[in-house]
Amino acid sequence: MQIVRFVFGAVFLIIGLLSCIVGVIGVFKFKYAANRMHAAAINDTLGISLCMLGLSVLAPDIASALKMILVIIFFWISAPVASHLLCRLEVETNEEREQYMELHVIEGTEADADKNTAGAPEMEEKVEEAENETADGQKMTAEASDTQIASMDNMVKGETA
Amino acid sequence: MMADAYQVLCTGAMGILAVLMVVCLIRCAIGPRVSDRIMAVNMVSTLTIIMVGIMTVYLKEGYLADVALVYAVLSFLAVIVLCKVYTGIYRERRHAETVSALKEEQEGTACR
Repeated sequence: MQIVRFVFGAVFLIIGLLSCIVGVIGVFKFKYAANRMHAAAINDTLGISLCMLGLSVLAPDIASALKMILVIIFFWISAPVASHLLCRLEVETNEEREQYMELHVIEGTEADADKNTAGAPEMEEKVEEAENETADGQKMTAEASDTQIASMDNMVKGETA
Repeated sequence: MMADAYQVLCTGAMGILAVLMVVCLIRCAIGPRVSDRIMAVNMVSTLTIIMVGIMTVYLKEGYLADVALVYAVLSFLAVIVLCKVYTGIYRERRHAETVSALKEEQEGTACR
């Protein structure tokens, strides 16, 4: 029984270590940072999952085995978030990104707003001013129409009186 | 006999992980972009978590599993904070550049 447990755990641990080695080799093989992130994700998901599964089989007590399973579940949640943020950093800060990837800017997102204002504060101020103007104009027209309506009401009242 | 097998497995795995961590540090040193360096930090912390798990089995101490769990949370936090900080630095720098360029333009038009 002891030997079966050891063999099970050792097999999982060794497969996990092999996938870690594959991930580290892949980080050196690829040419561009976003591709290297893909190789690093192997390490974060498959490598740590298999290693922790094997170690939880080998663990001395049931509580530590369950904690290792909890590490796997936490990594399932956190690794995609971390690589998403890392990829966003890469796309946002790389000036020559059009050489490596095709960018499709979706309308109405943050990137779309960045593209339209081009990061120029003067432009942003102008846009804000324009918005204020339009808002004022709308207010003006609204007030005008209100006064017009009031005057019309007065006229109507005057006629009736 | 079982103790010997455990020792061989744990020591071998620790050796492989140590070599992989050194290789990740090389990636961190030569990485041309900031995202490469953050990625290497993330990989090193992942390998550290596996190492702490192996220590749990090797020393037969249950509390080291808690250490692995806390280390997972900390590595996730480190990656997120580094990403946010570098994105903010890049945005500030770009903003400052555009502001200075616009000021130069305005001075040029004033001289004319």
